[in-house]
Amino acid sequence: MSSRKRSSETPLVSAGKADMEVVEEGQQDGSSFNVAVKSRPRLRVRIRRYHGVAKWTWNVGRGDEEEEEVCGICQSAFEGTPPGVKYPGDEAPVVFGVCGHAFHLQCVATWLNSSRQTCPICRADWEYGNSEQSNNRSGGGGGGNQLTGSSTNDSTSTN
Amino acid sequence: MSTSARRRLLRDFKRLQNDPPSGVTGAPMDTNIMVWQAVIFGPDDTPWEGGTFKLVLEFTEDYPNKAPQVRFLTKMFHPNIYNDGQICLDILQNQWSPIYDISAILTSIQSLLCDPNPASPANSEASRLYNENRREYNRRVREIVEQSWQDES
Ligand SMILES: [Zn+2]
Ligand SMILES: [Zn+2]
Repeated sequence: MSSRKRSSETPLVSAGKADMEVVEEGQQDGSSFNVAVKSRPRLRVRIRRYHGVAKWTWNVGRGDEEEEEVCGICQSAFEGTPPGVKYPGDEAPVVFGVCGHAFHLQCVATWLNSSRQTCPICRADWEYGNSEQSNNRSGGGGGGNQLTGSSTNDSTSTN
Repeated sequence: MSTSARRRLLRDFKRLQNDPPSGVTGAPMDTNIMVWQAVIFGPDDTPWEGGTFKLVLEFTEDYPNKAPQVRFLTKMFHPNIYNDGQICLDILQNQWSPIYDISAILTSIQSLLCDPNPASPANSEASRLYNENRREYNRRVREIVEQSWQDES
């Protein structure tokens, strides 16, 4: 009887992606979520192992909510891969023009090679800028635009 | 084979399906994603209303860094459209940008219909009538609209 109750409650504590051990203690905890159940044993959770998942994004200073989070040239996500690149991330850095517009490095480089040296979005003469500067300049309304991608700067300087 | 042009065209196609612009439609040929057929519908409340104008778009492996070749298959009468269907439109020439997609191309052409650019005449008769005799110009446009239905067959 009590074991069946416990199993129905276990999902509440094991919702995360952790491998957990549920330890039964012979004590009642009146303040817990199910007060109707009398003399329910208190559960103690011991985490044996967990699997961490991290999410990263390029900080492209998207002050404008309307703006989609894709590179305008390849129409793939900034976090995705532009053509010819196998893995996202440092292999496909996001770069800025001094005008504040961002593209995958490979995408804008191909454009600049094949055409006029202008920003595809605003048509200003293209010059690589650094993202901090351009965030300020575009005044994107996004206070606290932290540079998550120090690699952003690295990539522009290697160019 | 998956090239960057093909990959981009697939994205364009997806976007065209998920977020279809009004008054234009297009799809790649079954056999070749580099060639598209499209239809532009004449905008309501204009002489072009009711027209269904077919186009063909041919992309190269340089897309989106180079504009596609765009040409009307339907016979047109417009100051900026040549008799062979070629279109004189800045964004298809020197104002091309790699951020344009097929939706943007087709909607730009659609707005060109009612908003010709007198600076770059491609059909001198249409240009002249547009400037000097709008009533006759509109009549000629209506003729083209009616012809476009016969092309349907
Ligand atoms: Zn890109
Ligand atoms: Zn720009």
